[in-house]
Formats: sequence, C-alpha cells, structure tokens
Amino acid sequence: MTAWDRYWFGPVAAVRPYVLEHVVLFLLALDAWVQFVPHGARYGAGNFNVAHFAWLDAVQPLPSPALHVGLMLIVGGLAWVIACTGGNRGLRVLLLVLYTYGWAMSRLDAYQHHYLLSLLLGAFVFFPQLRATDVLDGGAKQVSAWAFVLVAANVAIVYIFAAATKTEAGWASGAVLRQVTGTSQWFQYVWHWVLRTGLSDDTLWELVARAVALMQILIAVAYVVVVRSDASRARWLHLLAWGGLGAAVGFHGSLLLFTIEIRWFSCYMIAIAAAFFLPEAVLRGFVRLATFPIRAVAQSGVRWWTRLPTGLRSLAVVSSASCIVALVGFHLDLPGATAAGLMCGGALAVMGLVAALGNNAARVRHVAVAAAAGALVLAAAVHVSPVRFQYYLYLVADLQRRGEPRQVLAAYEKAERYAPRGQSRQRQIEALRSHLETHRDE
Amino acid sequence: MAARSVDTVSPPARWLRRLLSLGIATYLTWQIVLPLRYYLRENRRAARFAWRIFSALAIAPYRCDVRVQEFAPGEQLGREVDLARTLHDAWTAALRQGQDAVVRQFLHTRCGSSSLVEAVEFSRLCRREDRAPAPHMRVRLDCRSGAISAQEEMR
Repeated sequence: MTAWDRYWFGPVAAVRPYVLEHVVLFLLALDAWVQFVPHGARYGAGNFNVAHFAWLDAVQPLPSPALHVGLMLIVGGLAWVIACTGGNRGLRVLLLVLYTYGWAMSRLDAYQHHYLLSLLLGAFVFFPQLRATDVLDGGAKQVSAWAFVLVAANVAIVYIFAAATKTEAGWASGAVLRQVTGTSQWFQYVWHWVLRTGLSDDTLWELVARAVALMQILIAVAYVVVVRSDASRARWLHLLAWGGLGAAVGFHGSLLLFTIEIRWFSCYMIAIAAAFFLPEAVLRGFVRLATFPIRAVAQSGVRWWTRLPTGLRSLAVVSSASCIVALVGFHLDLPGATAAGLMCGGALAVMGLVAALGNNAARVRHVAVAAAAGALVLAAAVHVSPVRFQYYLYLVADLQRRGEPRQVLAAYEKAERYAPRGQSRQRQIEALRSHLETHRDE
Repeated sequence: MAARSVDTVSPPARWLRRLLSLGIATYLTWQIVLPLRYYLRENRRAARFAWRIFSALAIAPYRCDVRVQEFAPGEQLGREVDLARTLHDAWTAALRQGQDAVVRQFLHTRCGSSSLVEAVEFSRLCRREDRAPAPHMRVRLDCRSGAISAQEEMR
C-alpha cells in the first residue's frame, strides 16, 4: 500500500469509530428533543422564511412549528434507535436527510455546528457497522475505517479556518474576548489576579487571543496526525494526543462557562476529541461500563419469554412499541408531536409486519424495543427539562409583538401547565385576563 | 445472525481504494474551497459554511439599526414598515446582521404585499461605541422591474 493508502485505509482501533458514532448519536437525540424543539414556534411566523439554499425555497412549503417540531422529534428518535441498535445504512441515510433538512429549511437555524453534524452523519453512513461485543471481545480490534479518518481531516479543516479568522484585528486585539467574558464575575476575578503579575491589560488580552488561535492549530494538527496513532508505538504521538485532548477540553470547556449562545457545540466537540484522543483502553472501559446493563439483560434472557414462538414474540414487542411511541407523541402536547408519534408508531408496525413475513424478526424486535425506550426517554426528558414551558413562552414573546391578546393568553396558559417551580406566569395570566374582560366590547 | 469478525484489518480491494481515494480527495477539496470562497469575497456577512467560529464577525463590535420603507408611485417619502409587527424577532436580527438573502427576500415579500407599492428600501446603520467607522448599507428594490440597487460604505 502507498503512504496515502496507509493513511486512509490503515488500521484504527475499532472502539474509536464505535464511540464516536454512538456518543454523537445519543447527544443528537437529546439535542433534537431538548434544544431544537423549544425554538420551533418561530418557523413560519409572519408567513416569512428564507431557506439555506434557494432551490429549497422553490420546492418546500412554508415551514411551520408542527413541521419543525415533528421533524426534530423524529430525528431524535431515529438517532436514538440507530445508537441503540446500530441501524443500517438506509436508516443512517434517512437520519442524514431528515436532520439536514431540519436546519436547511430555514436560516432561522444559523448554527455552524449543525452543518458540521450533517457532515458527521454523512460519514457515519460509511462507518464500519460494529456492535459492543465486536469492540469488547478478544482479538486485534482494529478495523480499516476511511470515513473515520475523513472525520479527523474534516474537523482539522474546521479548526484551521477557525484559527485563521483569529488573525483578524478584531480578534487579535482581544476585543471579542473582552466582550464575551465581560459579564463573567469569576473570570474578572481571575483576570485581575493575573494582572497582579505586572502584565498590562492590553498585552494580556492579546496574549490570550493569540493563545486561543494557537490552541486551535494544535488541535487541528493533533487530529490529522493522531488518527494514525493506533498503528504506531511512537511515544510522541501519544503525547500529542493528550495535548490535543487537553486543548480541546480547555477551549470548548471554557466556552461552557460564558454566556455565549452556542447550544451544545462544546459538548459535541469534546465528545469528538475524546473518541480520537483518549487511549484505546479508556474508551473500551467506557463502552464496557455504558453497555453493561444491556449486555446483562441480553445474557440473562427471561425463560418464559424465549419459549414463546418467534412470531408471537415479534407481534407482542412491535405492537407494544408502536403503541408506546404513538401515545408518547400524543402526550407531548406540542405541535407536530401527535403526527410524529403516529408516523413512527405506524412505521414500526409496518416493519413488524414485514419482519413477520421475512426472517429478520430478532432485528426488528431490537429496533422496536429501542424505539419504545427512546419514546420513554423523550417523555422523561420533556418532563425533566422545561422544553414545553420554553416553547410556549417563546411563542408568547412573538405573539406579544405580532399577535392578538387572546392568542397570547392561550399560549401563556399552555406555558403555565409546564412551568417549573418558581417560574409561574399566573400573575401575567391574571393581568391579561382582566385586561381582556375590561376591553371585551372593543 | 452470523457473528461479524472485526479482529483482522481488512482494507478495501485495490480498485475500491482508488475509487474511494478519488471521492476523499474531491470531498476534501470541496471542504477547503467552500470556506475559502467566503474569505476571498468582499462581502463577508454570510458566514454559514466558513467556520468563523467564535470570531469577530459572530460577536460584532457594533450595534445596528434597520428600517424598511415602502414607496407608493410618485411619492418621495416612504411609509415605514413596522418590523416588530411584521417579522419574527429572529428575522429582524438577521436583517440587523445584513444577511443579503434575508434582506432581498423580505424586500420581495413587501413588494408582493400590495400592488400600490412601487419600491421598497432597506437601510442598515451601525454604530460603534468608540465612534470608529461602522457599516452602513442601503438596498432598494424596484417592484416593477425587479432591479436591485445596493450601496455599502463605512461611516
């Protein structure tokens, strides 16, 4: 093999693509449910929209809250099912298309990492299809995974361009950093402590600004070089991996401490860095720990259950899962959720029927169990986090400017049902009701 | 289901490696050229695919006010469009950033809103706290001909 071939097609530890894909998919599932859904109300507001691509504007209907929320619920569910079962290439392509349409339908979603995630999902289509047992049980545990190496190159390109923009005067002077850190009290405390060393304020800002650019270059180099470290025993490669991991966690972790609206970008980048830079043994330990409950249940096997005929088992599992998925959709009380639940439940039922006629029953049962578990996790996530409260409050904020008071009241009342403790809007609701009573005849 | 073995490294066959290599090279070229096109452009407001993460553009050192006016035939003074009642706040923010596609689409939408509108004009005036020059932009759409004229300068 040529050097080029060795770089792209040489061995990598199987656990790395496995961890990268699974962690990103689980994060994506929660991200879609908890972060995307609350912002769904703005889609189609004022009958105005601009898609990311002109051709999409020409072919798509005006996006609506139901379309966006329903799509994101399905995207989360699909990511969850693929993460749990491994899925197949068809499901991965479907996830890529639906997720990409989710952000491309409107420039309301301008997060660059959503585009990066589409690139990652595209790479996942070509990842080796591995299961936890493939990664954990004996053997060399190395695979040829060109798509995994391509992700490293792609992420390196991201960091290189990000570092290049930091040569501009606005960044290099530290002005942007001053703005970002200005509201952080703990940062101000640390900053003033460092200034006691005698450095001038301007010099220190410039130093930090340049250090950030250097960190990004270090991370980019680490991605390109360390991706081949599993095939090498060179000590410097492992040191570079630790350096890359430290820089990535330091940079993205510190962003979590400031009030910058970047959603879960830092979490994704730290997860990606961990998959590429952590030692193989640590990643295998992580997989062993994370998959322990599932493996324990699979190995124990409930006897009476396994004695049932395969067809009956499949029918019971798939029909139960379909009902759970549909009911959760109905229970969510969000636009598009009932339709999404019915579509997913229906798709499961059709899969079950096809499986009953074919010889893929076990696989379909796994998918059905994963889908039902995903639906229950979604229900729990929506209960624990203020997804619905935020959704209806964002709607209130928009209607207060553009809508009628009665619409505002209806949205407020919806939000109130899901208000976390201490965030009740009852006072505003009472005031609005009283206002509407007084102006009833106007 | 048959157990899959991943114990041995099995690179693709030579012909497939060549094919994949071609795909990889094309993909990487696209990934480099797409952001580069943005950086070689004069107008650098639409930074969607340029990886300007956490940069001076994303966190601009100035604040911008925007207004949109509609002109009826023969009138010199325009009627101000109430953006707060017309658009979602997120779109007004996109107008403040001067996103070309959003500006043009909104101007076209306003042209289509009434047959009495002859032209629509968007203006964006930015100010820095230190009074250093900041962007000023004016875009006018002639509803009949569809002609767009744009002016941009630092003031």
